Amino acid sequence: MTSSDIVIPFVSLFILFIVLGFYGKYWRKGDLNHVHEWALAGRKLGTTLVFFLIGADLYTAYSFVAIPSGVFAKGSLYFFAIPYVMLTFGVALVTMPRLWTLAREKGYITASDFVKDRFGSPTLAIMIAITGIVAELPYIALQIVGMQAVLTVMLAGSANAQVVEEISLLISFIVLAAFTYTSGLRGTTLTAIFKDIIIWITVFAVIIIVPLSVGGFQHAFSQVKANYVTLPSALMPAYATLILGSALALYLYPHAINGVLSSESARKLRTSTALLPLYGVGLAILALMGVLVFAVPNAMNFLSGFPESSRGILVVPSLIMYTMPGWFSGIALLGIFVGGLVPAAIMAMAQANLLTRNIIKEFKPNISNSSEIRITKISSTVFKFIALGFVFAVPATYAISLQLLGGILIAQILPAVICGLYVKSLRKTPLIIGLLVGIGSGIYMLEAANNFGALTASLFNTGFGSIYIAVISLAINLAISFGGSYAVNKVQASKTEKN
Amino acid sequence: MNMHIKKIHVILALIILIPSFIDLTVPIYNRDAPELFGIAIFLLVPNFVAVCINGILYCFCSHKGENHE
Repeated sequence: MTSSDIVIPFVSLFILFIVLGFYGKYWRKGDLNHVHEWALAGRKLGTTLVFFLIGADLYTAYSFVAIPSGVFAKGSLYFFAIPYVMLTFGVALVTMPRLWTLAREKGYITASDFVKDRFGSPTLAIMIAITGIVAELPYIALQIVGMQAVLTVMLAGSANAQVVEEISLLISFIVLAAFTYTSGLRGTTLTAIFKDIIIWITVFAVIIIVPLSVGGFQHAFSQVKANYVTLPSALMPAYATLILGSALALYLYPHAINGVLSSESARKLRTSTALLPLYGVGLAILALMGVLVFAVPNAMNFLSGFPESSRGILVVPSLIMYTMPGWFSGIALLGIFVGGLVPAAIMAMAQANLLTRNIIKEFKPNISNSSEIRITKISSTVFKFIALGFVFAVPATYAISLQLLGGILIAQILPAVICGLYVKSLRKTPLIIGLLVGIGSGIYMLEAANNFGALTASLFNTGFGSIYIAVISLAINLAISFGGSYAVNKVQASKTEKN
Repeated sequence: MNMHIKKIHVILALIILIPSFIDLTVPIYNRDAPELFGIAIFLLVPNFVAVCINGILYCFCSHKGENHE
């Protein structure tokens, strides 16, 4: 499968990507020895840059690999990703400018900073930080799975493909770690723009060329079963709760909040967020590739050479390889490859911020600025390689489940972070109990739904049908947080009356 | 939060959340006909809503931004 037509554009553009990453250090110069300069690009990004940065944050291997993989394997249920994108930006537009304003006033860099200040509870802040760090790991792993899929398709049939693939991933991560260390969010923002331009070109080319070459969407849909065209009625609760749960969870991820806080003003943040649903259309096109591939016999033949469980993640790269000219395939595959690399960098930076500011600093409050930034940079590098090791150790099957698992965990910080922005009556103790019960119940239901074996499903069967576990555990968490806060306030009020 | 910002939040919430929740009314548009370019209405509705929300939000945000910030 490897040919110079594909490899030359791929490698050339990857070199340009590296140059941009390192050039970031000199772009919009700032003192990168301060955390807000390194991790938030000095909070100076305008509408367009925030649009591309959050776009790169949120349109990741999840969009290029996991969603088309889900559509390919299970049909229309995975089209939930299109309305979920709409809803998530709605939620973000209402809530994130408020968080940005508070962060600017009080110097917050993470959501845990806000929680600590708002509820006066280092314990709750540390728990939020740990939840964020843990939830990010499967998300970074998913990015690497996406990158692996590109290399698998490119190197198929080559001698020592497995070794070349692993070495390529390792080199990519060393380069990524190096420019993230030196350039911080500035380098990542530049590479995000580069990546998004390639992705948009690819998406438009695919949506025009592929349907034309396979005889239209009508022909593609005629090749699949009815459950790919419309949603089986039994799956409606699953569809609706996947939309709701994923939409509520997305902006709680530390990397999304990182992107939000790097904005120059609340107005610019609002305007860029208002434009972001455009990516929903791009996502719809990518999801449709899970159906279009059925009308491309060469791609289907290629996929049949892989185990059924790992075919899905190869859908988009193989569809591109078998329908586009070689030189264009090289460009498009590079787009998908760096589409995993850029978000992985931002996610690891966000994890590092949480670790340093909200965990290490709690136990060593007198840490100097230079030590803080050094620990942040080093831990950002370490997190990248932990995720890489995770992917090398665990087979890359059911990629989407990795992200849905992260979603279940991160959704549990919603009461403290989002409700905490608006509801004055919330109290720290019920929030801590709610978070613990939410995470505990979420993990238990996830294990039960998968018969305590490998994680492949994130839906729980209830009397109302299958429901996304994140929504059930969040409902339990919210009930405890609000019910408990009401009880605490009542007790405090009666004590005050007695006194 | 002053009254003006509160008003913006309420209007934004209405503009965004009401159409967004249209997507959650799956049983209404979960059909294979009508279709456009071979794509069923089930897939067209969320995309149509996306484009509409995009346009409305962008106009609203840039208008509010110019006038008030």
